[in-house]
Amino acid sequence: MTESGQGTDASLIGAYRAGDQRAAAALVARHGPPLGRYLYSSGAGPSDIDDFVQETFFRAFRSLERWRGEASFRNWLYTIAGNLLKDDYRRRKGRIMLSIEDRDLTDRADPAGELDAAEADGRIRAGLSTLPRLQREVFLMRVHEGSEYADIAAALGTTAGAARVHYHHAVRRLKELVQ
Amino acid sequence: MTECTLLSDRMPAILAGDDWTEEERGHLARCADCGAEWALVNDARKLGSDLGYAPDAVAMAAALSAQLRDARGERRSVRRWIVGSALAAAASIMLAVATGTFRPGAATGTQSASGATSAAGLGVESGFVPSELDSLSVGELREVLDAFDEPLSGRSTVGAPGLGDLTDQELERVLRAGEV
Repeated sequence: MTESGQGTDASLIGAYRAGDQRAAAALVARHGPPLGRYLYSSGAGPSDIDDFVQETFFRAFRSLERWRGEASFRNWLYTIAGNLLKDDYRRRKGRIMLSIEDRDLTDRADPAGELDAAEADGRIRAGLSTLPRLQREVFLMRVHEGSEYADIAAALGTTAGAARVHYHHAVRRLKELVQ
Repeated sequence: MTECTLLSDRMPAILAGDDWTEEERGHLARCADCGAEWALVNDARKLGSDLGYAPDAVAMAAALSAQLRDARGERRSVRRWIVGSALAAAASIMLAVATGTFRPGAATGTQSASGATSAAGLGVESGFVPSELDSLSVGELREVLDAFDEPLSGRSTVGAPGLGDLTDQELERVLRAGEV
């Protein structure tokens, strides 16, 4: 799924640790775009995404020895990104910044449909921002990656059963908020 | 576990590429709640895809490399500063102990001072040269040295007067001197 092409995440990480800078670029190319979507879904402003992605990779590369492969590398990155957003949220003293105004929307043939999509997008992001952190992260890992509960549990330091409960709570809350 | 829960658990796998079974498809068509959930997870999956975000991987990797090098440099500087300070402190203590200026307490200081005095006294004694030798010529000094070199065993005690050689008066004087 995510590991076609230039080798597995584990082999790229091994190459990077051995000093191969191209491996770092390959990891950024592979995981940067979904990480950006994850950060955006979690409430980051579009103009901040690049900085958050770089900071997430910085933190990940600085402590690669902590990634032991129990969770997928991408879910591990998502967890680091979640911590980063939490720190940022605290720095801003709890003010949630959900901006959809500065999105670079591409030209569409259907402006009305685009507006609907933007509204749905905004509602879901607003709904996600009201969820407890674990519920939000489990939901996004499930929906964006199709990750199994066991993998999510390994990334978030919980159990598969608890991850499943968080997911169903998140779905129920979001359905109420979005409809 | 209800059919709705089972279907809910299947949705992420379907989003990732799996196909619904006929039975699942039928349930989804009949159940409004599951239909709403399916719409929700579909919309959630699309979140951020309009952004078209794709970082310049090579540039970001280079920036990360520089950032990590700086961070390592900072960490190394802090570590070097700590080790340097510890070594400097240890060297100062060793120097103070070696030069006798290390005074961790008043009592130890007194002991140290008296120890230094007796050492100085010993130095004076060991370096003492009798002033009467100053006036001697080289030949006289050699005689004195030769006399010191002559082993005690070389001096015969045979023929030295014994107590039996003394007269009664001389013997009485020696014994009286021994009593004093």
